Amino acid sequence: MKCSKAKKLISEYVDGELDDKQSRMLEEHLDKCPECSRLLVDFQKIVEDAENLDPYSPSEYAWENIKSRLTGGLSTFPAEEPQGRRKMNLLFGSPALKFGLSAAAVLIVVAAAFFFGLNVNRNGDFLPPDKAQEKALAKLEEAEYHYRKAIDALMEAVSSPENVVSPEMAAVFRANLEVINLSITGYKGAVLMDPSDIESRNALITAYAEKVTFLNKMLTMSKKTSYAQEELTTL
Amino acid sequence: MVTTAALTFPAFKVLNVPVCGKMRLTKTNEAAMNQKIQRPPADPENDSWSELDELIRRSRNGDLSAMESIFEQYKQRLFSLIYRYTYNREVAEDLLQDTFIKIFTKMKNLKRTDTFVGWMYRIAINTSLSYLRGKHSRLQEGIPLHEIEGMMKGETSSTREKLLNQPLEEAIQTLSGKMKSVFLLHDVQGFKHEEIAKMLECSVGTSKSQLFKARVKLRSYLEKKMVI
Repeated sequence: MKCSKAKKLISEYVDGELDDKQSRMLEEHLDKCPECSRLLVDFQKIVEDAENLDPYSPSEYAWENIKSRLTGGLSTFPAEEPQGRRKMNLLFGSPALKFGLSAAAVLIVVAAAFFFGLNVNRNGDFLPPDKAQEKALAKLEEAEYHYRKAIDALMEAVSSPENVVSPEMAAVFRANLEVINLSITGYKGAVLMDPSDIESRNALITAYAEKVTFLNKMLTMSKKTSYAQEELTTL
Repeated sequence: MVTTAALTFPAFKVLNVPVCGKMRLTKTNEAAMNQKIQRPPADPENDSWSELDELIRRSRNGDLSAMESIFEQYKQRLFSLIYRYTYNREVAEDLLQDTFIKIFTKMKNLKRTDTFVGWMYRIAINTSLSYLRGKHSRLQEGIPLHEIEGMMKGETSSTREKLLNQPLEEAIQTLSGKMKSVFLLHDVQGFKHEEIAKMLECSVGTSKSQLFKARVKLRSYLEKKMVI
């Protein structure tokens, strides 16, 4: 067997796909040819390393985002959806409107969190401190959820192919986003350390709000390309 | 001699795809084969086809909990595949979401549910390749907004640092087109050439030759890096 033929068979040999006759012929060649033997060892190493590559996992919010898009953003799904709901989806399916609705929801829940933070219940009576904190935390969690949804909606709008910016503007956006994301990461860490710390949760929500504002600004500026350079100075 | 059944990946068991090729065990490939048998199957959590079939049926009727179960079972495998096309976490996250949206909104049109797994992979691959094609043409005009955050995170995340420590991951980045798809599906994800041929709509022979070329290219890269 010639080396050129042996080399082509080695890949299938590694996968155990050669028949008895082909395998025997190749093995006879391998016994005499150090170069092809080395190729076999290298291919086996590549296959073994490929099998052992670490898997990557999506973020914990991936399903939440998919579910949100399936139930809120698509008029074609699910087929059994009630007629009324489908009409609502058609009306509120655009990213900008979804962002608007999410932002409105955030304002309501943040206000509610503040209200409960004051240890007051709906009847105007004071709540016990533990109960008040529990309610405030629940509302702040809700606000975080709505902010994340608003960010997702804006990112969806940002994904539109027509939204492109110059490399210079992209650099400025990137630098600003880096700062905001660092804040979010930091506050998320603080919230994870102490989920009952209302101060950290408030700070996280503020950082989310900054990101929403900034993404909105990115969108606006990408549509004003002729004024891009002037607007950069106001960032 | 090992029986055909013992060499069959669980993916084939559930999909009833015949196994091609005979196996001759030698000391070298016996160990390799044992490893392959242990490799995570295409449907990692499902022991029986009927369970997935039921999830598909419920998902087609709009059952979100069934969709979530399918997502949970395949998210890591599809995300790993998509990520290795883009090597950008943010973009891969978006593409994974797009992939599952397409899967759940188009699954009613799927005629044969026994091809579901391969069909999902085809959508993931087409979504990734379509993004890469679009990215190439968009780069001629300007930088897309949605790539700004991904670029930034890609440069600073621990994932990137981890990636650079894995020579094979670096080498995979040098592969392109069908060569990359075949290598990822065969050597990383554990599919057989027959399944890959259906996913990529090519012949089994093309799948085998592309895998050979991919391995040669990876070897050449790793040799230069003195890893092999």
